[in-house]
Amino acid sequence: MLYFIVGLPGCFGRWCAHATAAMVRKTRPCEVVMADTAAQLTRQLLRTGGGETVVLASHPGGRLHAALVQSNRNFVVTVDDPRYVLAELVLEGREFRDALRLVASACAVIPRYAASPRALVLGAGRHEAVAAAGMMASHFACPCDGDSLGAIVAGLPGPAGEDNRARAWWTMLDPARRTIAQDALGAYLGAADKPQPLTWGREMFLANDCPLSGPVDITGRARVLFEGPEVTLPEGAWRLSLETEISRAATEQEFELELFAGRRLASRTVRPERSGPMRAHLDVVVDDSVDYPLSLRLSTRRAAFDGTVTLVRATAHPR
Amino acid sequence: MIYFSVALPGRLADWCDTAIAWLAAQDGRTVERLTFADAVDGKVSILDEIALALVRSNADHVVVGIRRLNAGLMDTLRETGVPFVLGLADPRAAVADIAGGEGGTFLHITREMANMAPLMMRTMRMPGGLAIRPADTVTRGANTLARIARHLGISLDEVQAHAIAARLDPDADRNWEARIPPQMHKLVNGALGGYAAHFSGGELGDLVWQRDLFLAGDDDARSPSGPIALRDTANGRFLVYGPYLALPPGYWSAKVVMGISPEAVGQTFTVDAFSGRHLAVTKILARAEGIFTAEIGFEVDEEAARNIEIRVSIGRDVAPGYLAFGHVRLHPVAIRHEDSVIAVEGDFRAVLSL
Repeated sequence: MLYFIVGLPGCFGRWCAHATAAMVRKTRPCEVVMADTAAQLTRQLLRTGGGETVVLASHPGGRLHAALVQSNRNFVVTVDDPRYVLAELVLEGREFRDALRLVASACAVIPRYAASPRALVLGAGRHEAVAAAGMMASHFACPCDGDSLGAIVAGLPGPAGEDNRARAWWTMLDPARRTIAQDALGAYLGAADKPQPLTWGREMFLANDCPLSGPVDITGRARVLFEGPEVTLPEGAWRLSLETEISRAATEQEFELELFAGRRLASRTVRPERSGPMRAHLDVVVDDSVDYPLSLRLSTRRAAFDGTVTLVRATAHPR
Repeated sequence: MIYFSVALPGRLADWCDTAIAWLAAQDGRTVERLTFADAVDGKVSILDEIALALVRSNADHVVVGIRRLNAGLMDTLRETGVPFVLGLADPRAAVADIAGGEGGTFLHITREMANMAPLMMRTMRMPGGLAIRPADTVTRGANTLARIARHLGISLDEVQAHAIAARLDPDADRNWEARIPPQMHKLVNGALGGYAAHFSGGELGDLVWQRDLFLAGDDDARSPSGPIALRDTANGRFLVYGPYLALPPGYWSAKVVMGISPEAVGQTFTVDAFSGRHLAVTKILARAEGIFTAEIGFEVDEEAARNIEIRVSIGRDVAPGYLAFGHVRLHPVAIRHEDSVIAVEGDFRAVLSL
């Protein structure tokens, strides 16, 4: 039996997963695994033996969503303030970019899961711990009485984690990083009815597996210059734009802009007409067939003797 | 629980899948069977499908039948150490079973099984695998079920074992020759007979790649069944090349059997083995008309173990005469076993005081 907890990858989601596992363990052994794709889930189930399993997923792919909906299986969706979940992850030692892309990806998929009639939506801080555990027990049909729930909750760390530390971290966050985080998460902070534009700064991209910091020297063989942000987008039709600054020596080059999500979804050749700003875009439809976070990749198409490309930002606009 | 049954397509595979499903269902638990007939491309697809089926299903156990193994799935089985049942059917019988079931040409199916067999050999050495052979299903059915149950951690008593064994259809009547047209016997037996010997418990035997598996170097890309004009080698083309099959890693000797017409006497032929890079090359001067053999020895490592080519070419652009291509006999001089390397490493370290 699989019990799915979908939500932001912070303390509250983990608390829900471990509380559910403790309830199941009253009658049978149970493991907690983390998986966002179907393949990850299979590997985890093979490691644990595939018995009773609580699956904690922060940004499960589209095919997993389709299977979950088809299965008529009850599941729990946890919601939280993404800024404080970001803080929790960084305070736990996760690298800022990695934490931000995890939180942004979770924010993108949660509404889709929360809208399902099989979802029990629990908000961090909105429910008393025993009450939240009771709602999950009822939703998952785990036979637990009030005493058992009290004992389970008493045996777990609090569902809110170190809330004050997270708030303090966010308040004290370096302004540049705060801007990056707000650009990537801002669309999810309000209660908008429709998808909002998203912006990803340079720090969300990698060049040679290192965070992108300044101009990229294109001298050398044809190669990938940078790629990112590796973030899931909400379901729908999107236009992804890449804004760069091209040096004069780089204007004779041809570049390839590609969009990946586990596989290549779109590509185009870009020929800068002059030095200075260069903007290129790709269109994509995010649906249940998209299983992985999206990444834009800019490459040179042939060897270059000189020139630089500077990434300004990437944006996603709903179409 | 997820139970894996890895076997080439055929009756042994069905026996293994059914046996595991019935063993898992003994305690009243529900069991779903998933059979993956195709290897798909890479490990991602099968792993995806297993999880998606588990999510959609409410079954307590899932039996996953893998008919065409791929390297990625093998890696996952190895990494996770999950126990699995490995059905070691005679690959020639698998060819007959596939032709009679899924369909396809014998040439195509033989190629597919020849590429699958080296993977099965590697799987035999994985610690999580329990090898089941056709004979195990015929005379010792209940014992075999007990072994499978023990390996997979399923409780089973003797009465239940006999009851399940009585309901299973044993994998008897493995006379592949009666089910494959006689004109295909040489092709099928040559490519797979060596593996059949190994799967039944013996050493890996010689493999013979018949000419139907190769291509003649003209524009039609036909098999070299007739005489090949040496003039066709112009523009650097090969007279014969192929068969792009896999071999188990190790040292191999290959004897390439050819014949030449009188006009071709005095020509020098180049025979090489290739797999992304040259593995071996030899030149041979044809001193007389008739049949001659070129022999090369080469090493196949993990990287070169797929898409192996044996190629024949001639030094001159336009030469007179004809070549007739026979076959390539491959003899395993020494097969590399990853596990044995690990086992002896300690001895070497001790001797060398490392």
